Amino acid sequence: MSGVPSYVAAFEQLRPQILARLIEVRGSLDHAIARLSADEARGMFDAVLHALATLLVTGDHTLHRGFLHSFVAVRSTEGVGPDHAQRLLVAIADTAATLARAQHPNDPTVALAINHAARLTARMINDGIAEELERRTAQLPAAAGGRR
Amino acid sequence: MSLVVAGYGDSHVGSVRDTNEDALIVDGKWGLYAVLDGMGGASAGDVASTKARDVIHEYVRARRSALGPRQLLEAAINAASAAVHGEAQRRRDRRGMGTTVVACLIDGRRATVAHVGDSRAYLLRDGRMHRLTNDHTIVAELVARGAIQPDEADRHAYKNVLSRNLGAKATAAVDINEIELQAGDRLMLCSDGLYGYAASEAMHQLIASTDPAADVVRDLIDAALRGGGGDNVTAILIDAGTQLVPRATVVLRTSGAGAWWARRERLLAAARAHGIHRSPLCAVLAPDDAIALVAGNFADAVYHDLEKATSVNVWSFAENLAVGWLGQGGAWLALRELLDGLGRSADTVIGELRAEDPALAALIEAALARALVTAETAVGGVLAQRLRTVEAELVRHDAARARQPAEVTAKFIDHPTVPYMRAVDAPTEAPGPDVQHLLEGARRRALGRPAATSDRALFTRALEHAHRVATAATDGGDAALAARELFDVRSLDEAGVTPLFDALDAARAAHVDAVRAVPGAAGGKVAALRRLTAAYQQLSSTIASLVVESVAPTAEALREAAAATASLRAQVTKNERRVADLERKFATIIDDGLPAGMRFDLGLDPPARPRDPSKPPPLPRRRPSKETLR
Amino acid sequence: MTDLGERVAILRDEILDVVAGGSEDAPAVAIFDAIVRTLSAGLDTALGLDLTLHDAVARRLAWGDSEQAILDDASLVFTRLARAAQRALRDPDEEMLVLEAAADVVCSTSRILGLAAVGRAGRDRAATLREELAQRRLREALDEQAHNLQRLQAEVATSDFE
Repeated sequence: MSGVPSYVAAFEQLRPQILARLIEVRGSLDHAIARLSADEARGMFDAVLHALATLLVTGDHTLHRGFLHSFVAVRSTEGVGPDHAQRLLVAIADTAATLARAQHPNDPTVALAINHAARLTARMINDGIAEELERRTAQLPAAAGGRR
Repeated sequence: MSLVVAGYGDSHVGSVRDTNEDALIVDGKWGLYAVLDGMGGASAGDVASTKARDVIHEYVRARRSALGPRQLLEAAINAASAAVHGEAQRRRDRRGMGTTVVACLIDGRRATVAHVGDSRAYLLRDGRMHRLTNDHTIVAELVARGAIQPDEADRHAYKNVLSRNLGAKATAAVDINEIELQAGDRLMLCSDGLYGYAASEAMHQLIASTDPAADVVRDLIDAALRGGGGDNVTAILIDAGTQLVPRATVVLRTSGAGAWWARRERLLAAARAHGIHRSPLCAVLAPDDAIALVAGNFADAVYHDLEKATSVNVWSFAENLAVGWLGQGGAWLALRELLDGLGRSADTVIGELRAEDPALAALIEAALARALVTAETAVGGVLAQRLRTVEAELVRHDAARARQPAEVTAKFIDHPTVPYMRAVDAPTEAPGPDVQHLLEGARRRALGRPAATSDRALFTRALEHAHRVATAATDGGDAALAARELFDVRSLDEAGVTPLFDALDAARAAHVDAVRAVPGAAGGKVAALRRLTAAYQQLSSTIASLVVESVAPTAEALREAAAATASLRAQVTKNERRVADLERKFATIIDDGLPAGMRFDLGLDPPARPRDPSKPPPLPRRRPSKETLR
Repeated sequence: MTDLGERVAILRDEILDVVAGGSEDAPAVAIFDAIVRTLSAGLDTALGLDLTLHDAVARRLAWGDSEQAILDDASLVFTRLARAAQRALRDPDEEMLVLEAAADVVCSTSRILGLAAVGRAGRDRAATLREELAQRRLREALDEQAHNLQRLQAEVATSDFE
């Protein structure tokens, strides 16, 4: 890939390893994932790693936000709250950053880029939770007033 | 090569309970560690847990050399269950007492973990925390089977009901797990008073620190007490060998923490330059105080975390900030900007350090980047908890609307839905004259007594209906009709249904006493009581059936809603794949078109414009651009 | 005189075998055990909720038994026990004690099940509302996806950007 920062290429090269490690430790990432089959877990992890890679390459926040909204919405149907979904995404990024540090001990930019992506992810989810909190709070007076 | 294993444990009564019904074993000589959490009224739980603890400890000591670890733990725990069960049978005030147990036996490099109940074991390895035990509770088993969602588990009516414990029976079904320990592993055994009240992120951070086990156990108990301390708290930490600390961590804990502390004033100056004191969160503070309080506490939290190679202090800092600000109605945007300001202030300090020591600066930058992620997740937890509270309030209002009496229009008797009682046996003949006479006497006597219930009218109706059912020749039809008349029109909630069962119970008690008291031959009284108790059994059972049938539509509505959700979810998942495919093409376009040397700088963009739910979503306005950041 | 509870316990196989087909897992087992417990504890204790019975019924419901199935089992236990007690106990006072204890337990069971049903209905209503909240999030995610798909398709088609 021409002109792409080295950490982007490094992340892409690490992706298969990160995916394998995630599947291996999935029970410790989130107890709910332990119940998924390896294939189901792989599908979810792959989607998250793809979203991280897209963010690193394109820097496109709108796309990333769209992915996160879908991720959180789908997790909510599994009974997983947005904060749990957030911690899961951060745990995935942590695993990726740990592997990056181990594979590139002399180049801190890879792990740093992943940490920044994790912080942006956590921030976007907080924005989403705050937005929903504002909406639901606005619905309270009408809901309470609907009672006799 | 064997590992040097050392354990430390402690227990606390908590902030709410009067007695500590937890017990623990920390026996390094025999390699035995255990946490037990007793249950049962009037200190019976204390008896159960200490009894089980003593039996397990003695059993292991006596038979350590005779049995393998797996068989030894299983047999010891079963012996404890038999002992607790026996004690429970001997004394009426100890009936139903029991205890959980999670025990670990270390033999060389092998750890055998056995448990019954909801006390837990965790393993920390390579910075990741693994739960080694599944809770033996009804809700945990329902979640495991997919019968309920994890989110529902905390709200479930039976969330505290164990599916297994020691003492319910003479034997117990024990789950056993064996692991090979590695140097640096850390095991934790704990009661639900810890994980039920301490945030799991805080637990992880504390256990993952390189602090001695005694300090970590104390901090864990503190975390549970700060989280409410509604139960007894017990934790044991077992360290297997010396932790292998990466060199980078050693550097951070020493030079890194020192370098950060040396620049504390620099951070406060940077915070002032970035306008931290002008944040709405600091509105009631003088500028110097605001800087000292907010930026100063942030600087101290970062320092302590660098020193201990953890993020728990930044976690607490961010959580307290969020709880305090949001709790008084503060806006998220203000908190967001404050966190950004602190992040930029830290960047300034790191930038200056980079000029002197690039390698150390890189280490601190990485640690700080991770700490700020922790800060965001700490705040996320607070935001999500507030969202859950508001949603629960909305649900309550919705439920209250559903209970409005105006919605209850039809009388059940006009719309029979419950089939007549099945003919269990051949139709009963009407009672003979002497039994009839006894029943009539009992009815009058019972009616003349004060009702042990607040609704005298309902008590009287229940008694009269029971008498009619008892004196009729019936195949169950009379009971069904009587039940419908008694049910009448009432709301389908606890407030509507409980008075009916109360009235039936009170009527039954009065009626039975009256049969005993009324003059008559013993044989006749027994026959009368047979009919009467059968009548009350049929009435209460039919009323319960009516309730069950009446609430059936809510289950149907839930099934329909769940199906609609599943359909939407499938659409989202399908679309996500399409988006991902296009993103790959889009990314390739960008890759090929990048000027060489362009640096991507990931930062935090301005907040998305709040969406007005009354307006349709915005149409695409522009072609995508690289959103590089300043 | 041996404990009345112990003597009634002897009737276990007869009553439960008929009712439950011999299964140790049937709801009837918990109900019969509760009756034996009540007789052994003595009926002079105040009418209170037997927590063990409550937990046992809760477990049956949690494992998927319907309320009606448990009610049916309770009815049959009561009927069979009343018949067996009439046959097996010579003392009318003892038979009356058994009938009272059996009525206590099966009426308690009806109360537990009735309240469990309304509790379940309340939870189902709350769960339905949560499903509707989740549906709203999913619809918003679909809107956002549609927006991004449109954007990406346009961009890939033109292969041009600012």
